[in-house]
Amino acid sequence: MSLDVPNTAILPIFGTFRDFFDNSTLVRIVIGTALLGMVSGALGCFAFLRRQSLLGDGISHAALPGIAIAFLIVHDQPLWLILGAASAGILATWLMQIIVRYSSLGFDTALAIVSSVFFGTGMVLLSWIQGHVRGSSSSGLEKYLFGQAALMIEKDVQAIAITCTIIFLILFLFWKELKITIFDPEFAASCGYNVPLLEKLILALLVLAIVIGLESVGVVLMSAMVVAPAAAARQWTNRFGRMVFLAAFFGAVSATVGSLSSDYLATKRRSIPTGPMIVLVALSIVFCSSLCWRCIYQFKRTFLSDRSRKETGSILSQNTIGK
Amino acid sequence: MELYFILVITALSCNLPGIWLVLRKLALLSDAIGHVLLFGIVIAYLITHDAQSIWLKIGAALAALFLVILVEQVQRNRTVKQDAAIGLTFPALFSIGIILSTAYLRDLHLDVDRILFGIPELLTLRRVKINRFDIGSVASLTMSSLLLLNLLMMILFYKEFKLSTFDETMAYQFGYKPRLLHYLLMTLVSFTAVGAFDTVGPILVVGFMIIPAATAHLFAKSLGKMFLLSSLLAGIAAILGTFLAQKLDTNIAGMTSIILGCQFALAILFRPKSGLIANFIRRIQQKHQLHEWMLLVHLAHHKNTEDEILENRAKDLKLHLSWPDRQIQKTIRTLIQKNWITETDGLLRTTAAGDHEITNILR
Repeated sequence: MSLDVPNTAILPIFGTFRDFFDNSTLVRIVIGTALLGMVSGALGCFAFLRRQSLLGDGISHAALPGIAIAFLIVHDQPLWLILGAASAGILATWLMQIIVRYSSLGFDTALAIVSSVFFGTGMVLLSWIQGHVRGSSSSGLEKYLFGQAALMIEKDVQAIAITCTIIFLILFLFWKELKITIFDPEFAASCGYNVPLLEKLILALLVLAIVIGLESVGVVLMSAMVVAPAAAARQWTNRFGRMVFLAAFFGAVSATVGSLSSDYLATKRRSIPTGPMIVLVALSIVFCSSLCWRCIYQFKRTFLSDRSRKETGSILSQNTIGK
Repeated sequence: MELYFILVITALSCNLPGIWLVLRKLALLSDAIGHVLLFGIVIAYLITHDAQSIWLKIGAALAALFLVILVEQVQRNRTVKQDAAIGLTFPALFSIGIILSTAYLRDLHLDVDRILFGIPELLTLRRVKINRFDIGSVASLTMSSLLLLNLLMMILFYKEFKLSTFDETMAYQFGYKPRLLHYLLMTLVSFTAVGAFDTVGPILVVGFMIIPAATAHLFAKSLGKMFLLSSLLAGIAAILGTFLAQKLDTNIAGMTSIILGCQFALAILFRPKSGLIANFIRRIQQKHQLHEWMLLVHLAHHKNTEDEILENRAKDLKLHLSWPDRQIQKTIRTLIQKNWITETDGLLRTTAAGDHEITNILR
């Protein structure tokens, strides 16, 4: 029995790896989701540190009416759908900022209001489309809500790759400005940077990354892809540069492991959705990192505090003896 | 007719605990709870294997409470703030729910539309009968009892909720138990969410809980008024939304959240004193006033000096103030209208009233 376990456990994994490069669909999905994980992880750090982690959730809900309107105008053209979603997302973030500035309500309330109203509008538009436009069914909607990485085609991967390159290029070019804006907007303004513009740039990049990811990971889970890698990376470092780098790494790893394991666990009788699997892997990375650091901290504290107590005790006793 | 009744009852019962959520800055917890119910339903179904069982509802409510506890546990890690804690926990439960339901519940038809949107149109079809006497639909009975429960709790613990929301430390000193009250509130929220989830779908649950309360928060000066105003707004939105949705033949939940959004938008635009439009008007007025004062002070400064003819000619003001032409003309016109300055041969001189105004400005 104990000899059987490694055989059954390891061999199929080797098999999967050998098949990996033969299976072009799987390669496509892994590359696409890994790129997505990388870019959303890196940008998630900005939202995480500004205490706006749920922005991802809000934006992905708010994108629905944009998609619906784009569908009404140009029908099923992926690029236009993405543009529609992005413009709805940007409009939503803008409205949130207005609400926060001109009322006593907090960011969380503004987010809840805008995302539920936008999603409601999207629902009305969709029900209208389903009733009035021929050849439209709710399958597209389901794809948007839960995401279907399995349907990723080569064009999608190309689009993701191009967007990722653009986003990382902008991050690289404006690194110093974005960093200072995140941590100390007043100081950034006094240095002569255009803080409102930089903040809009961060939001626009985030919206772009989320909208690109919606199709493969889905609305609810995209928000986790923004928060989780950043939260995991934050456990390991206090430096922003390392945090962004680590978050991108964690995002890519969780996407790769998640999509491979969803492929590996699926059998003919049951299918395992890719998006939720990726999110679960990302969240378990957060959990393990946090657990790991808690253990280290606990260990250090008991170890160090014992020694320091002994030392102070001996110093005290020496002093009293001396006197 | 019964549909309107159900929607209004749902609106009111969501609204009551929602006000406390807005005041306690926990608005997003309602959104998270709306997503987590799926997890509870799937787990309960895997245990009972009965799609109609009451245990599905209990499972959903327990899942919501589990989420609340989980969020607090995650927050004990110092690097993870509340928003991130919510953002980490509910996707975890949601994705477990989706994975379990796609892997094991293929035979059970979990209708996506129903889970995400709710179908209020079908609510009046399921009815409760006692001795063949129709006493109402299941939905209206559940929501009415939830409304009664919420109302009872709000009346019983009004004082305690109020103090522990606005000043937790003081509530603690008075011997109330803020933690216990927090969990009581969360229990109410999750019960209401589970009940309303079936009726109107999670999006409108969030809408009913947060938006009327936020709109009322913009106006109300006291908690009592806020309760009244937000209940009124929620009721109106429910009636108007249902009416319009039936007229236009669209989704009731979506239409009602649009109405709620319109209410909020109107409130934030037209709020007296601090609304967007009032703010805009006040800024323009302040700008004009500043221009008038600056011109007046400039004229007074050079009045009766050697270079008065150089400085105070209407034509040359552009040189000294470097303002656009239109702005100079307009400011001069208003000042003359107010009788603070006079113009003779292109030379501007302040009048007695203008001098008096300047002493007021410079004081």
